[in-house]
Amino acid sequence: MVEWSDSERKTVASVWGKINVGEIGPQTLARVLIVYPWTQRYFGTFGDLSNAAAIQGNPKVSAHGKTVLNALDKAVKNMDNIKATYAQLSQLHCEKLNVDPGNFKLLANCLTIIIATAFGPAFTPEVQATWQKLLSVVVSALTSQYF
Amino acid sequence: MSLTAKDKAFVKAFWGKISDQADAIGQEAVGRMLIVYPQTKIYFPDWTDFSLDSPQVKKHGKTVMSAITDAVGKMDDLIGEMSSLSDLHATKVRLDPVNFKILSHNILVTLAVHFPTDFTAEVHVAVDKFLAAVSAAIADKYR
Repeated sequence: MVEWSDSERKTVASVWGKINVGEIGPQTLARVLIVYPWTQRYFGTFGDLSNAAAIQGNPKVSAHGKTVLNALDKAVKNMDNIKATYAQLSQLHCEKLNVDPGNFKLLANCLTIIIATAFGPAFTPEVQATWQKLLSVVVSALTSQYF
Repeated sequence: MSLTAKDKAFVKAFWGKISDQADAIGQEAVGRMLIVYPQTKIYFPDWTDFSLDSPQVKKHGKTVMSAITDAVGKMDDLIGEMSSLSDLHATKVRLDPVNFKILSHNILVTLAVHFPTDFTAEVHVAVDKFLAAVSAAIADKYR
């Protein structure tokens, strides 16, 4: 089981409390689709993803970005049991969506960069370290039902 | 994933905006890497201070970032131009290639923190590709 110090719990709650899911979610998914274009393969029904502007203005990308980031709320609210919390989502991503687990790390990295952009120097190395720990646990949990 | 003319143009334009802060960016990127990915400390066994404002972190950040800034002007032949750095990393440093991605990520985070308006999605993909190309050039002599 993952151990969290009081300081880490406070940091996670503080970071999450400042994140506007309606903005950060869409920006993050758009960023993944732009920086790692092969991920567009998973979104064949989303319409125009032909360039950065199209992706950033795409309403389906925006809606799905919110869905994805809202799911992170489960981790923040269940820090002591992230693996079980994500078991169903893991199965979904493996069996139905067939997403290569490598992509979870790409999304995590883009989310970190979008948050760094939004927070500026308040995203200190210490905050980054705690946030990275949370995302690593989430990525591991999402991969856990794959095999 | 080779650098297109557009990538090179984005990288050059962005580097023009950041180059006078390159040393500080390097220091912060290396500092973040050591704090967020503590396994990277293994490559610095004689260091005594791994904090962000340590003189050792400052010096190494400058060394790394100077080489990267140098590479901006060498994008047409990174493998050729970085050959001696590749020898160094292959034979003396023996840096596990996974660390290129780790440092690159921390450079991107540092850029995002300090240049929120200039570090757009299009700059992000161009710089990410550039850092990957630099990493490949440094790993070129690995085996």
